[in-house]
Amino acid sequence: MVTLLAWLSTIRVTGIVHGHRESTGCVPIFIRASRSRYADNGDFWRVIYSNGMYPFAAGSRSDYFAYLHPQYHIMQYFNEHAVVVHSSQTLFVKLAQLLNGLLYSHKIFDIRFMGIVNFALYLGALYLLTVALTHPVRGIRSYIIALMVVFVFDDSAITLYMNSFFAEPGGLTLLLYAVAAILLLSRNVYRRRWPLVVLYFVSSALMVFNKQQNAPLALSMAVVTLGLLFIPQWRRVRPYILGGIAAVLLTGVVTFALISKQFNDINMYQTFTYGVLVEQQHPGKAIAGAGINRQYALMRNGAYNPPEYASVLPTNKATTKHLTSKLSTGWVVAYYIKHPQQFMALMDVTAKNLMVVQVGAVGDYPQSAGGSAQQQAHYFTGMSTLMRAFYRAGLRSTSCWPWC
Amino acid sequence: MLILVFSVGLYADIRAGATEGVLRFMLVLGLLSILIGVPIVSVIGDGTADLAKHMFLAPMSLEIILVILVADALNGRLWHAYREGAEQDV
Repeated sequence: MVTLLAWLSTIRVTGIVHGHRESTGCVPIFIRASRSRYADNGDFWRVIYSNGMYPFAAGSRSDYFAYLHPQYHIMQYFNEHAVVVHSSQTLFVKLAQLLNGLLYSHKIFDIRFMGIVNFALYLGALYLLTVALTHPVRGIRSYIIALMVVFVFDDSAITLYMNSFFAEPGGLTLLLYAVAAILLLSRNVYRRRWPLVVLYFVSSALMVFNKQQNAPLALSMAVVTLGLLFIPQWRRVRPYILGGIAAVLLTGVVTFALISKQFNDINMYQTFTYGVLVEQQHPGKAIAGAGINRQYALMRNGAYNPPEYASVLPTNKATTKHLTSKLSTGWVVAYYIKHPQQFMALMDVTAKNLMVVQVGAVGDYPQSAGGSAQQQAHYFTGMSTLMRAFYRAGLRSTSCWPWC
Repeated sequence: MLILVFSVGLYADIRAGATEGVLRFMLVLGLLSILIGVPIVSVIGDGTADLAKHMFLAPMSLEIILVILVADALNGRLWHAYREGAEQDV
């Protein structure tokens, strides 16, 4: 039984082809078995410890990003770790833990249960999206559209996220639910509309609450929601829609407010070393002008948790006093306003990498698969490879602008 | 350019009193703001560290827009709300 379940859990459900509900009534599902997924890039701890789990051989995990580790211990006694990141991802993890407890073990958590939960919810979102895009047309074009959805959203660069403790798959799934709900509403696919409105608002709010960096996206969702005010038959429910917009915006504010001091310190330190100090010819002079000792310019490209020797320990008292405590989002914004050329150079870096979806820094296979460290998966990456090649030009190239 | 393409549907639907194009236009506008906003938030929030992961939703929203674009073009509903029997004309 356990073997069967383990086998079932390794199956990757890679997409749905949806014809028309009435004409075919069937949802063929392409399945293929695979064991690959993203390894830990150092971010998993914030999820696993606060959810009562810990890795195997926690003391000597020097290769955690090179190979993936499929199993984790489940804490049997009191969990002393406070919640470090408040996120809707916890709902996904709790669901996976429940399944794991019911079907597999109470002592060991298999990360594939995380994959089952993520995949099942993701498939639901893709199903609704495909229905919205194909309704009410029948025939060959619907199949072309369904195949396109599979080609785009079943790309391995995306699906490798599913079997991991990253929050990203949850965010994407919730965004797709919100998009599908809006499209279904606008096309009158279902007779009853309120379930779609509820689905839309719940998934938008959870999407914003998914990651701290999604907090500003509450504004984007507010823009989308404004569209609902234009439905003439809905004059009477407009106050409720406005209330929904307010709720989504409030979720954004709460998400932002719940960022812990520790995480703020990490993010501010890294935005300093990876942002403020790079693409700048005279970083010492620049930061001295903004009130920070110019010697800290030496910290360029240094991580908050340096893997090897670092000239200054980011966590110690002196660094906190003279650097981290002086940094804030306001300081960073003011700095970039003063140095617009550097900011444009940084945006150029992001534009060049905009379409790089696959996380290259971590391995995609377990050590038992026999591959080299940080080995990358390359099957079914057609869409991400295509987009990566197409958008390589960068921000300053005019070929990028017509699309925006 | 994407905004232009979808505003044609917006204009036609406002003239015709339909809502499909209006909702879709606002949706695309919101997704485009994710596409433009996420890289800026990533740079201000965490510099160029972990870019592939931090910008995940930006390429995704662009892909969602492109999928809607192609699907609606195939079904002949890009320039106006869906019309019964419209697919036979194409």
